Amino acid sequence: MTVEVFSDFQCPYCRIAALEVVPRLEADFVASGRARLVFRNFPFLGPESVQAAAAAACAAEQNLFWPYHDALFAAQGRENAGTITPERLLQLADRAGAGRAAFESCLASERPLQRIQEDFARGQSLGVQATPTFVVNGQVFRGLVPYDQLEQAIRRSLGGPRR
Amino acid sequence: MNLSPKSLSRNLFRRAPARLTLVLALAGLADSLYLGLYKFVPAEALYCATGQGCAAVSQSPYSSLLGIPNAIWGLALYGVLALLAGVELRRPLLGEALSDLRLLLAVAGTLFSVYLTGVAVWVIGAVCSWCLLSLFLLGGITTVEALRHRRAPAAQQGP
Repeated sequence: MTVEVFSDFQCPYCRIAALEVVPRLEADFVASGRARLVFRNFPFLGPESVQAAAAAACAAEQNLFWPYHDALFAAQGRENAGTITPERLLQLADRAGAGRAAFESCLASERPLQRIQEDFARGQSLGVQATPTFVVNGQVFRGLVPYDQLEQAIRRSLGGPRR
Repeated sequence: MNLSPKSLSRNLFRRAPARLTLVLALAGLADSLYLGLYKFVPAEALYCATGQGCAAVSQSPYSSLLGIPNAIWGLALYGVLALLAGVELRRPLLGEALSDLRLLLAVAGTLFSVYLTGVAVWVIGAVCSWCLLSLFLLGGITTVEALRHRRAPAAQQGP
């Protein structure tokens, strides 16, 4: 069972989802192996969203996606106001423990953009038009919905008891 | 009562500015009502949407004045403007006496709306389309009232 979350690193509601919803999903379903949580880049709020998504994709190549994801959201500022710069992204990568050379090489390549385009295309095919959007077994939840709604949908998909 | 075609035509169009102001003010009321709901029912806006932004404008510190949300100010302003325009349609003499107040309110509202749009663009970095609509509506009311004001003395000089 897969739960997808479409997100933009500049979106304030995605930040709340990252800080409050994702950890609960991890604790309740991912840690036990009952569900898989997949982050999908949906950077539509501007150039800094794309830069952040690319950096996160590069962190993912070093198996550091989630720590980098947390660091990016923790460092979130106003939209496209110069918060996300190449220097800042490298600084966060250093803090997350990423290898600097590999990270820079990845950022200079086309790989992260391809990954972003794939995620974006996936979102469009599902009708995603907002972030955060959660997709649970094909059921789309737009916005920062109450955790209970997601939990019930996941439990239904798993065939477990409804609460 | 003079019922000549010229007089009928003049009577018909004489209240056109008040009718136009009434229509624009009612549209403004609907716009402010939507913005008010958007502000007070945040559950409806807990996402960033393509083409709409992130509700950053309606949740910024600039979204209220003297502790009162701008949407409420908007409701009050459009409500008073609609009322004054309605008064002119029902009681022309009283309405005309209050026309200066209508123009004053419209100009004040437009200036404040221009200020808020500037804040949205240059400070918040996000534009709210419903707030822009309000700016256009207030601009429209101000234009109508200003034109009416300019024509009023000429009309009074009539034959």
